[in-house]
Amino acid sequence: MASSNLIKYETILGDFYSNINFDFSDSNIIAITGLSGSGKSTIAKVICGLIKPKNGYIKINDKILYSSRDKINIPPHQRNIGMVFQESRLFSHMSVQNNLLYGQRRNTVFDQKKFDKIINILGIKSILNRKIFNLSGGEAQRVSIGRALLTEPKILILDEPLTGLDSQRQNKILKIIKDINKNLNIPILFISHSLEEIIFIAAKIIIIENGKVATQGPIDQIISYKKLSSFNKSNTIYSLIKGVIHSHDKTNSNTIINVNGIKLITKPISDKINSGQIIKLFSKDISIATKMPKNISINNILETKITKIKISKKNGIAEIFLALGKQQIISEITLFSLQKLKLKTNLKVYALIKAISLVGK
Amino acid sequence: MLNPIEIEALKLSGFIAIIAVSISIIPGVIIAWIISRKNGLFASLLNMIVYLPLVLPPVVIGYLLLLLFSNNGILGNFLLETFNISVNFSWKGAAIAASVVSFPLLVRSIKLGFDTFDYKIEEAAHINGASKIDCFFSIILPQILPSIITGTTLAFARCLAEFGATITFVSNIPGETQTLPLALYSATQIPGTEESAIRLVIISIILAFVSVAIAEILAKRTNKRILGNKNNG
Repeated sequence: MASSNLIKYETILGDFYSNINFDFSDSNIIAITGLSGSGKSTIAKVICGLIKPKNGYIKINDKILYSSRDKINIPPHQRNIGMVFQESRLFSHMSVQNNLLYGQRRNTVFDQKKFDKIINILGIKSILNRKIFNLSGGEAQRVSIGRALLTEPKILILDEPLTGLDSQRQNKILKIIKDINKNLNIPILFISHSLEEIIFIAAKIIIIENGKVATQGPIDQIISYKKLSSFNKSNTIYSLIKGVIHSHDKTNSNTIINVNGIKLITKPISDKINSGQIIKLFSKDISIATKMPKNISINNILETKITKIKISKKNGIAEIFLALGKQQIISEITLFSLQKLKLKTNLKVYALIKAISLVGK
Repeated sequence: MLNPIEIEALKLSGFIAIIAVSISIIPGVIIAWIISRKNGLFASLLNMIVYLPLVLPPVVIGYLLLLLFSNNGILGNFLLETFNISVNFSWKGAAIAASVVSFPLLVRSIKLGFDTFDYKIEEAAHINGASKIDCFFSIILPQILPSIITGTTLAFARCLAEFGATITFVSNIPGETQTLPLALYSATQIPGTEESAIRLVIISIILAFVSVAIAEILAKRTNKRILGNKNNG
């Protein structure tokens, strides 16, 4: 499935100028992220044909949908794009089943097997005859995804589909989106401002800043502190790292997670060995010692190296960047501690991690 | 209970109201859509013209219709020449008068439906493969059905109440243009028909009450069917 997709356009909406250019040719999940107002939702609307760019070129699955030079502008209903919005946008005068079939009837020949497959992935078999206004937020969003998938779209665009759902439902839908990608082999553009969601779901990430593509690439390489901090609106600094479950220690009642060969001990979790995990480490929960401390309650003491020191005189703190294999974690200490310990770049130190929270997998 | 003249008037009123509303529904929906969705001079002008019958004295409307539809008037001449139809002094004229007078109520209600319709849903339908026209019939019209029902019933009730424009335009002819209000007017003019007048008054009040009640009930039901309980009104 190496079809080529190219999105390249310029738009001027009011006084907001946007110039977007990216392409992809695999059917992975690609996350598009950025602050609100950065122009990330505009990308979805341009691809769907709801916004006509000033100039540019949109190609999805080798088909040109828009080209200012060749004066091509295929109307939205002929583009065959699957789109799920923040609000489910279901048709309240129809049943769930008729909502699902609305797009299908207009795009493809009905295929019972395909229909069954999709409603099974989404887990909506039992609600087919329900009225739209009797659905919960999570159910409505799953129906909305189903409606889009049944049109057999060339690409599925999800624009902040989890907003307004509680975390349990968010996780359920995230898993479903992964399943869709795996089973239906369809490229997915996942637009979100939440890094946790993105790390959980996406293989590639595109970061939009002020209407332009700031960075793009495989997610492991892109998720660094610099980019992180620009989305972190609160003042709490944290790092997100990826690991896999190494083993479950039943005697001591904990689970060991392997992060690039380094083992972290956490509370017991029920997931299978080798399943991927995303770990959130608050910088305030990481202390630094220059010697291996003894007689201490902290379990996770890692030998590491300082890669960078960032001083904020205003707040009286220093952010110490520590290497964790290819990944990076940040410790927040006071300037007083910084001087006391005489910390500097490339110094070998011990990171004392007080708390670990698992935010996804 | 009712004398033949009163029964005739009652039947005629119902018949004329049904014809009047039937001919105005489709133009009503189209005009409501234009003034709700379009900006610009044409839409604004249309908006004003549509609401005029609501504020003009009915006698003015009746007189204008008389000028337009008389055999020498622009429309009257056209109808006579092309279809050999004359609406003067006939129930057809009464239906035209009723539909003109009730038109603003019909359009106002339907426009409210278009105004409050969430056009994001139309976008979703569009992306799901529906053309603009397809969207209009498969999504927008069913969604605004409660407003269409309210508008239709209100307009129907207004047609039953129509007096001034009708009497000016097509006169007061029993069995042809004499609807309930006109029969009542006659009854109040002739000594010795007070009982008849009272009966007609009571019928008028009952009719008005019933039509408004039906409008309410129908609109509530459809609303509930389409939008659930959270969006009544």
